[in-house]
Amino acid sequence: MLEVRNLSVHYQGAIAVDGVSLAVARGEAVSIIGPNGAGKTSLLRAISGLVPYAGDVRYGGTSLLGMRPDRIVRAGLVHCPQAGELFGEMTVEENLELGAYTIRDAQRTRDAMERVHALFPQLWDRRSQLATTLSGGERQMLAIGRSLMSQPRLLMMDEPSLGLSPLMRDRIQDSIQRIHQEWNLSIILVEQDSALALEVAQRVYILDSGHLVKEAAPETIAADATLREVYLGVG
Amino acid sequence: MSVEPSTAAPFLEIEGVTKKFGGLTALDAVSFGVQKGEVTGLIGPNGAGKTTLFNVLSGFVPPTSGRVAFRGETVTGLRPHAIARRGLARTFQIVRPFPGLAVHENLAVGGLSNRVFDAGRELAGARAAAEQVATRVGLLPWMDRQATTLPHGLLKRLEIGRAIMTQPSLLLLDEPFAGLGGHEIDEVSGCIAELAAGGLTLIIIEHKLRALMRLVRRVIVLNFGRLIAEGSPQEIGANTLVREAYLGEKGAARLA
Repeated sequence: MLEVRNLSVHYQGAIAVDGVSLAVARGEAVSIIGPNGAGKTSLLRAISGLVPYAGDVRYGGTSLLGMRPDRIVRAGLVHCPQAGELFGEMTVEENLELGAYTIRDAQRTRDAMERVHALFPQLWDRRSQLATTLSGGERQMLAIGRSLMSQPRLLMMDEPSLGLSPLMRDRIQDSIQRIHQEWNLSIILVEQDSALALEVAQRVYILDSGHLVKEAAPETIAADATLREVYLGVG
Repeated sequence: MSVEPSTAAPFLEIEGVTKKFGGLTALDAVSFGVQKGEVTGLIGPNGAGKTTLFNVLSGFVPPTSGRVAFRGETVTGLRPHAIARRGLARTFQIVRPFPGLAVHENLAVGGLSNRVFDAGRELAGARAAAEQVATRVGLLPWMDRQATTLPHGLLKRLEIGRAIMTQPSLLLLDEPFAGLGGHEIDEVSGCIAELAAGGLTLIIIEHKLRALMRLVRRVIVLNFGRLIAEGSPQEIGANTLVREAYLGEKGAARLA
Protein backbone atom coordinates (compact mmCIF):
# COMPACT_ATOMS: atom_id res chain seq x y z
CA MET A 1 0.00 0.00 0.00
CA LEU A 2 2.78 2.40 0.98
CA GLU A 3 6.31 2.05 -0.22
CA VAL A 4 9.15 4.33 0.86
CA ARG A 5 12.19 4.04 -1.37
CA ASN A 6 15.62 5.29 -0.37
CA LEU A 7 14.22 8.39 1.30
CA SER A 8 16.58 11.09 2.62
CA VAL A 9 15.82 14.38 4.39
CA HIS A 10 18.39 17.14 4.82
CA TYR A 11 18.05 20.23 7.00
CA GLN A 12 20.64 22.93 6.22
CA GLY A 13 23.37 20.41 5.61
CA ALA A 14 22.45 18.06 8.46
CA ILE A 15 21.10 14.66 7.44
CA ALA A 16 17.96 13.72 9.39
CA VAL A 17 16.94 10.68 7.34
CA ASP A 18 19.50 8.81 5.28
CA GLY A 19 18.31 6.43 2.57
CA VAL A 20 15.41 4.75 4.40
CA SER A 21 13.25 2.18 2.61
CA LEU A 22 10.17 0.62 4.16
CA ALA A 23 6.78 -0.73 3.20
CA VAL A 24 3.33 -1.01 4.76
CA ALA A 25 0.79 -3.53 3.45
CA ARG A 26 -2.96 -2.86 3.37
CA GLY A 27 -4.41 -3.34 6.87
CA GLU A 28 -0.99 -3.67 8.44
CA ALA A 29 0.21 -1.89 11.60
CA VAL A 30 3.92 -1.08 11.78
CA SER A 31 5.84 0.76 14.46
CA ILE A 32 8.96 2.87 14.08
CA ILE A 33 11.10 3.15 17.20
CA GLY A 34 14.50 4.65 17.92
CA PRO A 35 16.17 7.31 20.06
CA ASN A 36 15.53 11.06 19.85
CA GLY A 37 17.04 12.56 16.74
CA ALA A 38 16.85 9.24 14.89
CA GLY A 39 14.75 10.84 12.15
CA LYS A 40 11.37 9.29 12.98
CA THR A 41 9.36 12.53 12.91
CA SER A 42 11.25 13.79 9.83
CA LEU A 43 10.35 10.56 8.03
CA LEU A 44 6.64 11.04 8.79
CA ARG A 45 6.82 14.68 7.75
CA ALA A 46 8.43 13.70 4.46
CA ILE A 47 5.79 11.07 3.71
CA SER A 48 3.10 13.70 4.45
CA GLY A 49 4.72 16.14 2.02
CA LEU A 50 5.57 18.64 4.78
CA VAL A 51 9.33 18.64 4.13
CA PRO A 52 11.23 18.16 0.87
CA TYR A 53 13.07 14.88 0.44
CA ALA A 54 15.12 12.80 -1.97
CA GLY A 55 14.00 9.31 -2.97
CA ASP A 56 10.40 8.30 -3.54
CA VAL A 57 7.19 7.54 -1.67
CA ARG A 58 4.65 5.45 -3.54
CA TYR A 59 1.12 5.09 -2.25
CA GLY A 60 -1.25 2.70 -4.01
CA GLY A 61 1.16 2.70 -6.94
CA THR A 62 1.28 6.51 -7.32
CA SER A 63 4.32 8.62 -6.47
CA LEU A 64 3.69 11.25 -3.75
CA LEU A 65 6.97 13.04 -4.49
CA GLY A 66 6.26 16.77 -4.83
CA MET A 67 2.56 16.36 -4.08
CA ARG A 68 0.97 19.01 -1.85
CA PRO A 69 0.12 17.89 1.72
CA ASP A 70 -3.63 18.47 1.25
CA ARG A 71 -3.60 16.23 -1.83
CA ILE A 72 -1.89 13.52 0.19
CA VAL A 73 -4.60 13.81 2.87
CA ARG A 74 -7.30 13.57 0.19
CA ALA A 75 -5.60 10.43 -1.10
CA GLY A 76 -6.22 8.86 2.33
CA LEU A 77 -2.86 9.25 4.06
CA VAL A 78 -3.20 11.24 7.28
CA HIS A 79 -0.61 12.37 9.81
CA CYS A 80 -1.53 12.86 13.49
CA PRO A 81 1.33 15.08 14.73
CA GLN A 82 3.17 14.92 18.01
CA ALA A 83 1.48 16.62 20.97
CA GLY A 84 -1.71 16.93 18.94
CA GLU A 85 -1.27 20.51 17.73
CA LEU A 86 -4.94 21.21 18.26
CA PHE A 87 -6.80 24.43 17.56
CA GLY A 88 -6.76 25.43 21.23
CA GLU A 89 -9.24 28.30 21.11
CA MET A 90 -11.84 26.27 19.25
CA THR A 91 -14.26 23.75 20.70
CA VAL A 92 -13.83 19.99 20.55
CA GLU A 93 -16.58 19.79 17.95
CA GLU A 94 -15.02 22.52 15.78
CA ASN A 95 -11.66 20.73 15.91
CA LEU A 96 -13.35 17.56 14.67
CA GLU A 97 -15.22 19.44 11.94
CA LEU A 98 -11.96 20.94 10.71
CA GLY A 99 -10.56 17.43 10.45
CA ALA A 100 -13.19 16.79 7.78
CA TYR A 101 -12.16 19.89 5.81
CA THR A 102 -11.21 17.77 2.81
CA ILE A 103 -14.56 15.90 2.83
CA ARG A 104 -17.13 18.02 1.01
CA ASP A 105 -20.08 15.88 1.90
CA ALA A 106 -22.23 16.65 4.95
CA GLN A 107 -23.54 13.11 5.30
CA ARG A 108 -20.08 11.54 5.22
CA THR A 109 -18.90 14.12 7.77
CA ARG A 110 -21.79 13.27 10.11
CA ASP A 111 -21.05 9.55 9.76
CA ALA A 112 -17.37 10.12 10.54
CA MET A 113 -18.33 12.24 13.57
CA GLU A 114 -20.56 9.44 14.88
CA ARG A 115 -17.84 6.84 14.51
CA VAL A 116 -15.31 9.08 16.28
CA HIS A 117 -17.76 9.65 19.14
CA ALA A 118 -18.33 5.89 19.38
CA LEU A 119 -14.56 5.41 19.68
CA PHE A 120 -14.07 8.29 22.16
CA PRO A 121 -17.37 8.94 24.03
CA GLN A 122 -15.57 11.58 26.14
CA LEU A 123 -15.26 13.79 23.06
CA TRP A 124 -19.04 13.86 22.79
CA ASP A 125 -19.35 14.80 26.49
CA ARG A 126 -16.87 17.61 25.97
CA ARG A 127 -18.02 18.71 22.51
CA SER A 128 -18.66 22.35 23.43
CA GLN A 129 -15.50 22.82 25.55
CA LEU A 130 -12.45 24.64 24.22
CA ALA A 131 -9.61 22.30 23.30
CA THR A 132 -7.27 24.13 25.72
CA THR A 133 -9.41 23.01 28.68
CA LEU A 134 -8.97 19.29 27.95
CA SER A 135 -6.71 17.00 29.96
CA GLY A 136 -3.66 15.46 28.28
CA GLY A 137 -5.44 12.19 27.52
CA GLU A 138 -8.49 13.94 26.08
CA ARG A 139 -6.29 16.13 23.89
CA GLN A 140 -4.68 13.05 22.43
CA MET A 141 -8.12 11.52 21.82
CA LEU A 142 -9.16 14.71 20.04
CA ALA A 143 -6.00 14.73 17.93
CA ILE A 144 -6.60 11.13 16.83
CA GLY A 145 -10.32 11.79 16.36
CA ARG A 146 -9.61 14.83 14.18
CA SER A 147 -7.25 12.75 12.03
CA LEU A 148 -9.95 10.11 11.61
CA MET A 149 -12.49 12.73 10.46
CA SER A 150 -10.79 12.94 7.09
CA GLN A 151 -11.46 9.21 6.70
CA PRO A 152 -7.92 8.02 6.08
CA ARG A 153 -6.91 4.60 4.89
CA LEU A 154 -3.46 4.94 6.38
CA LEU A 155 -2.99 6.76 9.68
CA MET A 156 0.45 7.91 10.81
CA MET A 157 0.70 8.69 14.52
CA ASP A 158 3.64 10.51 16.13
CA GLU A 159 4.06 9.61 19.82
CA PRO A 160 0.43 9.41 20.90
CA SER A 161 1.49 8.28 24.42
CA LEU A 162 3.64 11.38 25.07
CA GLY A 163 3.09 12.70 28.59
CA LEU A 164 0.13 10.45 29.37
CA SER A 165 -0.63 8.71 32.67
CA PRO A 166 -0.44 4.88 32.66
CA LEU A 167 -4.23 4.59 32.56
CA MET A 168 -4.61 7.03 29.62
CA ARG A 169 -1.70 5.39 27.82
CA ASP A 170 -3.55 2.06 28.01
CA ARG A 171 -6.78 3.66 26.71
CA ILE A 172 -4.91 5.19 23.80
CA GLN A 173 -3.35 1.79 23.08
CA ASP A 174 -6.81 0.17 23.08
CA SER A 175 -8.13 2.81 20.69
CA ILE A 176 -5.17 2.36 18.30
CA GLN A 177 -5.85 -1.38 18.28
CA ARG A 178 -9.54 -0.76 17.59
CA ILE A 179 -8.72 1.64 14.76
CA HIS A 180 -6.49 -1.02 13.29
CA GLN A 181 -8.68 -4.08 13.84
CA GLU A 182 -12.24 -2.72 13.67
CA TRP A 183 -11.77 0.18 11.28
CA ASN A 184 -9.28 -1.82 9.19
CA LEU A 185 -6.90 1.09 8.80
CA SER A 186 -3.23 0.69 8.03
CA ILE A 187 -1.12 2.28 10.73
CA ILE A 188 2.36 3.70 11.10
CA LEU A 189 3.10 4.36 14.75
CA VAL A 190 6.15 6.32 15.90
CA GLU A 191 6.65 5.76 19.62
CA GLN A 192 9.19 6.20 22.42
CA ASP A 193 7.11 3.87 24.58
CA SER A 194 8.59 0.71 23.15
CA ALA A 195 6.16 -1.59 24.99
CA LEU A 196 3.26 0.17 23.26
CA ALA A 197 5.06 0.14 19.92
CA LEU A 198 5.68 -3.60 20.13
CA GLU A 199 2.19 -4.48 21.39
CA VAL A 200 0.19 -2.83 18.60
CA ALA A 201 2.43 -3.59 15.62
CA GLN A 202 2.83 -6.59 13.37
CA ARG A 203 6.22 -5.36 12.26
CA VAL A 204 8.73 -2.98 13.84
CA TYR A 205 11.37 -0.81 12.21
CA ILE A 206 14.26 0.55 14.28
CA LEU A 207 15.70 3.86 13.14
CA ASP A 208 18.95 5.28 14.52
CA SER A 209 20.85 8.38 13.35
CA GLY A 210 18.75 8.53 10.19
CA HIS A 211 19.43 4.92 9.22
CA LEU A 212 17.20 1.89 9.29
CA VAL A 213 19.04 -0.57 11.54
CA LYS A 214 16.50 -3.37 11.91
CA GLU A 215 13.17 -4.60 10.62
CA ALA A 216 11.57 -7.51 12.45
CA ALA A 217 8.49 -8.92 14.15
CA PRO A 218 7.92 -7.46 17.65
CA GLU A 219 8.59 -10.85 19.28
CA THR A 220 11.96 -11.07 17.52
CA ILE A 221 12.99 -7.62 18.78
CA ALA A 222 11.77 -8.32 22.32
CA ALA A 223 13.78 -11.58 22.35
CA ASP A 224 17.03 -9.94 21.17
CA ALA A 225 19.12 -9.04 24.24
CA THR A 226 21.27 -6.49 22.40
CA LEU A 227 18.35 -4.65 20.79
CA ARG A 228 16.52 -4.66 24.12
CA GLU A 229 19.50 -3.15 25.86
CA VAL A 230 20.12 -0.45 23.23
CA TYR A 231 16.62 0.49 22.10
CA LEU A 232 14.02 -0.69 24.58
CA GLY A 233 15.53 0.08 28.01
CA VAL A 234 13.47 -0.18 31.16
CA GLY A 235 11.17 2.87 30.82
CA MET B 1 16.84 34.46 55.71
CA SER B 2 15.82 35.91 59.06
CA VAL B 3 14.38 32.76 60.57
CA GLU B 4 16.80 30.19 61.92
CA PRO B 5 16.04 26.72 60.45
CA SER B 6 14.53 24.47 63.08
CA THR B 7 16.06 21.03 63.40
CA ALA B 8 12.69 19.41 64.11
CA ALA B 9 10.77 20.82 61.11
CA PRO B 10 10.92 18.98 57.78
CA PHE B 11 13.20 20.38 55.09
CA LEU B 12 10.13 21.26 53.04
CA GLU B 13 6.73 21.59 54.65
CA ILE B 14 3.51 22.00 52.69
CA GLU B 15 0.54 22.88 54.87
CA GLY B 16 -3.02 22.92 53.56
CA VAL B 17 -2.11 24.37 50.18
CA THR B 18 -5.16 25.20 48.08
CA LYS B 19 -5.07 26.79 44.63
CA LYS B 20 -8.21 27.87 42.80
CA PHE B 21 -8.39 29.10 39.23
CA GLY B 22 -11.86 30.66 38.98
CA GLY B 23 -14.26 27.82 39.74
CA LEU B 24 -11.61 25.12 39.36
CA THR B 25 -9.85 23.84 42.47
CA ALA B 26 -6.47 22.75 41.14
CA LEU B 27 -5.06 21.98 44.61
CA ASP B 28 -7.29 21.12 47.53
CA ALA B 29 -5.72 21.38 51.02
CA VAL B 30 -2.56 19.47 50.14
CA SER B 31 -0.21 18.79 53.06
CA PHE B 32 2.99 16.79 53.24
CA GLY B 33 6.61 17.17 54.28
CA VAL B 34 9.92 16.19 52.73
CA GLN B 35 13.06 15.40 54.73
CA LYS B 36 16.52 16.55 53.74
CA GLY B 37 18.15 14.18 51.25
CA GLU B 38 14.86 12.42 50.50
CA VAL B 39 13.82 11.55 46.93
CA THR B 40 10.04 11.73 46.52
CA GLY B 41 7.91 10.81 43.52
CA LEU B 42 4.81 12.88 42.70
CA ILE B 43 2.32 11.09 40.46
CA GLY B 44 -1.31 11.37 39.41
CA PRO B 45 -3.53 11.65 36.32
CA ASN B 46 -3.08 14.42 33.73
CA GLY B 47 -4.63 17.54 35.27
CA ALA B 48 -4.34 16.32 38.89
CA GLY B 49 -2.44 19.44 40.00
CA LYS B 50 1.14 18.14 40.06
CA THR B 51 2.67 20.96 38.00
CA THR B 52 0.46 23.50 39.81
CA LEU B 53 1.99 22.30 43.08
CA PHE B 54 5.47 22.85 41.61
CA ASN B 55 4.33 26.32 40.51
CA VAL B 56 3.23 27.12 44.07
CA LEU B 57 6.40 25.73 45.66
CA SER B 58 8.66 27.70 43.33
CA GLY B 59 6.63 30.92 43.64
CA PHE B 60 5.30 31.06 40.06
CA VAL B 61 1.73 31.21 41.36
CA PRO B 62 0.65 32.17 44.88
CA PRO B 63 -1.58 29.64 46.67
CA THR B 64 -5.17 30.71 47.39
CA SER B 65 -4.56 29.54 50.95
CA GLY B 66 -2.06 27.47 52.87
CA ARG B 67 1.63 27.75 53.60
CA VAL B 68 4.94 26.46 52.26
CA ALA B 69 8.02 26.44 54.52
CA PHE B 70 11.49 25.69 53.17
CA ARG B 71 14.31 25.05 55.65
CA GLY B 72 12.15 26.46 58.40
CA GLU B 73 11.30 29.71 56.63
CA THR B 74 7.88 30.56 55.19
CA VAL B 75 8.39 31.15 51.45
CA THR B 76 4.73 31.56 50.48
CA GLY B 77 4.36 34.90 48.71
CA LEU B 78 8.04 35.24 47.79
CA ARG B 79 8.91 35.88 44.15
CA PRO B 80 10.38 32.96 42.13
CA HIS B 81 13.91 34.44 42.05
CA ALA B 82 13.86 34.93 45.81
CA ILE B 83 12.84 31.32 46.34
CA ALA B 84 15.50 30.14 43.87
CA ARG B 85 18.09 32.14 45.81
CA ARG B 86 17.16 30.22 48.94
CA GLY B 87 18.10 26.97 47.22
CA LEU B 88 14.83 25.73 45.70
CA ALA B 89 15.13 25.10 41.94
CA ARG B 90 12.80 23.52 39.42
CA THR B 91 12.70 22.30 35.84
CA PHE B 92 9.89 22.65 33.31
CA GLN B 93 8.14 20.00 31.22
CA ILE B 94 8.64 21.99 28.04
CA VAL B 95 12.29 22.96 27.65
CA ARG B 96 12.84 26.50 26.39
CA PRO B 97 16.55 27.28 26.12
CA PHE B 98 17.66 30.90 25.62
CA PRO B 99 17.82 31.27 21.83
CA GLY B 100 21.05 32.61 20.38
CA LEU B 101 23.06 31.30 23.32
CA ALA B 102 25.38 28.30 23.31
CA VAL B 103 24.88 25.40 25.72
CA HIS B 104 27.56 26.68 28.12
CA GLU B 105 25.98 30.15 28.08
CA ASN B 106 22.55 28.70 28.83
CA LEU B 107 24.09 26.93 31.81
CA ALA B 108 25.92 30.09 32.92
CA VAL B 109 22.64 32.05 33.07
CA GLY B 110 21.44 29.58 35.70
CA GLY B 111 24.50 30.41 37.81
CA LEU B 112 24.24 34.18 37.25
CA SER B 113 20.69 34.29 38.56
CA ASN B 114 21.93 33.08 41.93
CA ARG B 115 25.19 35.01 41.92
CA VAL B 116 27.19 31.83 42.07
CA PHE B 117 29.89 33.92 40.43
CA ASP B 118 30.24 37.61 39.55
CA ALA B 119 29.02 38.27 36.02
CA GLY B 120 31.37 41.12 35.16
CA ARG B 121 34.63 39.79 36.42
CA GLU B 122 34.29 36.06 36.36
CA LEU B 123 33.15 34.87 32.98
CA ALA B 124 35.98 32.37 33.10
CA GLY B 125 34.50 31.18 36.37
CA ALA B 126 31.14 30.87 34.67
CA ARG B 127 32.64 28.65 32.03
CA ALA B 128 34.33 26.51 34.67
CA ALA B 129 31.11 26.16 36.67
CA ALA B 130 29.19 25.31 33.50
CA GLU B 131 31.75 22.65 32.63
CA GLN B 132 31.42 21.07 36.04
CA VAL B 133 27.65 20.87 35.70
CA ALA B 134 27.89 19.71 32.07
CA THR B 135 30.03 16.81 33.24
CA ARG B 136 27.38 15.82 35.77
CA VAL B 137 24.55 15.84 33.21
CA GLY B 138 26.58 14.53 30.27
CA LEU B 139 26.56 17.68 28.09
CA LEU B 140 30.31 18.32 27.85
CA PRO B 141 30.66 17.35 24.13
CA TRP B 142 28.00 19.92 23.11
CA MET B 143 29.08 22.99 25.11
CA ASP B 144 29.60 25.31 22.13
CA ARG B 145 26.53 24.31 20.20
CA GLN B 146 23.53 26.63 19.91
CA ALA B 147 21.19 25.29 22.59
CA THR B 148 18.10 25.51 20.35
CA THR B 149 19.65 23.05 17.88
CA LEU B 150 20.03 20.26 20.46
CA PRO B 151 17.84 17.18 20.01
CA HIS B 152 15.12 16.66 22.60
CA GLY B 153 17.09 14.12 24.66
CA LEU B 154 19.94 16.58 25.24
CA LEU B 155 17.55 19.48 25.89
CA LYS B 156 16.10 17.51 28.79
CA ARG B 157 19.62 17.27 30.27
CA LEU B 158 20.23 20.99 29.68
CA GLU B 159 17.04 21.71 31.61
CA ILE B 160 18.38 19.79 34.63
CA GLY B 161 21.82 21.38 34.18
CA ARG B 162 20.43 24.94 34.20
CA ALA B 163 18.58 24.19 37.45
CA ILE B 164 21.59 22.70 39.24
CA MET B 165 23.74 25.66 38.14
CA THR B 166 21.81 27.61 40.81
CA GLN B 167 23.34 25.23 43.41
CA PRO B 168 20.00 24.21 44.88
CA SER B 169 19.47 22.08 47.97
CA LEU B 170 15.97 21.08 46.78
CA LEU B 171 15.28 20.35 43.11
CA LEU B 172 11.82 19.84 41.61
CA LEU B 173 11.95 17.81 38.38
CA ASP B 174 8.86 18.05 36.13
CA GLU B 175 8.75 14.95 33.91
CA PRO B 176 12.50 14.55 33.29
CA PHE B 177 11.85 11.43 31.13
CA ALA B 178 9.01 12.83 28.97
CA GLY B 179 9.65 12.16 25.30
CA LEU B 180 12.66 9.98 26.05
CA GLY B 181 12.88 6.30 25.20
CA GLY B 182 14.84 3.23 26.14
CA HIS B 183 18.47 3.95 26.75
CA GLU B 184 17.94 7.73 27.04
CA ILE B 185 15.81 7.19 30.14
CA ASP B 186 18.54 5.06 31.70
CA GLU B 187 21.09 7.82 31.07
CA VAL B 188 19.03 10.66 32.56
CA SER B 189 17.99 8.37 35.40
CA GLY B 190 21.70 7.76 36.10
CA CYS B 191 22.31 11.55 36.30
CA ILE B 192 19.43 11.96 38.75
CA ALA B 193 20.60 9.04 40.90
CA GLU B 194 24.02 10.69 41.16
CA LEU B 195 22.49 14.02 42.21
CA ALA B 196 20.54 12.16 44.89
CA ALA B 197 23.65 10.30 46.01
CA GLY B 198 25.36 13.69 46.38
CA GLY B 199 22.74 14.65 48.98
CA LEU B 200 20.36 16.75 46.83
CA THR B 201 16.72 16.57 47.96
CA LEU B 202 14.44 15.80 45.02
CA ILE B 203 10.75 15.75 44.15
CA ILE B 204 10.10 14.14 40.77
CA ILE B 205 6.90 14.29 38.70
CA GLU B 206 6.89 11.41 36.23
CA HIS B 207 4.58 9.01 34.38
CA LYS B 208 7.32 6.55 33.43
CA LEU B 209 6.81 4.64 36.60
CA ARG B 210 9.30 1.83 36.35
CA ALA B 211 12.10 4.36 35.91
CA LEU B 212 10.65 6.60 38.66
CA MET B 213 10.21 3.82 41.19
CA ARG B 214 13.89 2.87 40.96
CA LEU B 215 14.80 6.40 42.10
CA VAL B 216 12.36 7.07 44.92
CA ARG B 217 11.66 5.65 48.37
CA ARG B 218 8.33 7.44 48.80
CA VAL B 219 5.52 8.41 46.44
CA ILE B 220 2.78 11.03 46.80
CA VAL B 221 -0.35 10.65 44.64
CA LEU B 222 -2.59 13.56 43.64
CA ASN B 223 -6.02 13.20 42.03
CA PHE B 224 -8.31 16.18 41.26
CA GLY B 225 -6.05 18.35 43.41
CA ARG B 226 -6.23 16.13 46.49
CA LEU B 227 -3.56 13.98 48.05
CA ILE B 228 -5.12 10.50 47.81
CA ALA B 229 -2.19 8.28 48.77
CA GLU B 230 1.31 8.38 50.15
CA GLY B 231 3.70 5.49 50.65
CA SER B 232 6.47 3.29 49.33
CA PRO B 233 6.40 2.28 45.64
CA GLN B 234 5.10 -1.16 46.70
CA GLU B 235 2.29 0.33 48.80
CA ILE B 236 1.30 2.69 45.99
CA GLY B 237 1.26 -0.13 43.43
CA ALA B 238 -1.11 -2.09 45.66
CA ASN B 239 -3.37 0.87 46.55
CA THR B 240 -6.92 0.42 45.18
CA LEU B 241 -7.64 4.15 44.86
CA VAL B 242 -4.43 4.69 42.91
CA ARG B 243 -5.15 1.72 40.66
CA GLU B 244 -8.58 3.11 39.83
CA ALA B 245 -7.59 6.74 39.36
CA TYR B 246 -4.22 6.43 37.75
CA LEU B 247 -2.50 3.12 37.15
CA GLY B 248 -5.24 0.94 35.70
CA GLU B 249 -4.93 -2.81 36.14
CA LYS B 250 -2.40 -3.16 33.33
CA GLY B 251 -0.34 -0.27 34.67
CA ALA B 252 -0.29 -1.85 38.13
CA ALA B 253 0.76 -5.17 36.61
CA ARG B 254 3.62 -3.51 34.71
CA LEU B 255 4.79 -1.99 37.97
CA ALA B 256 4.75 -5.27 39.91
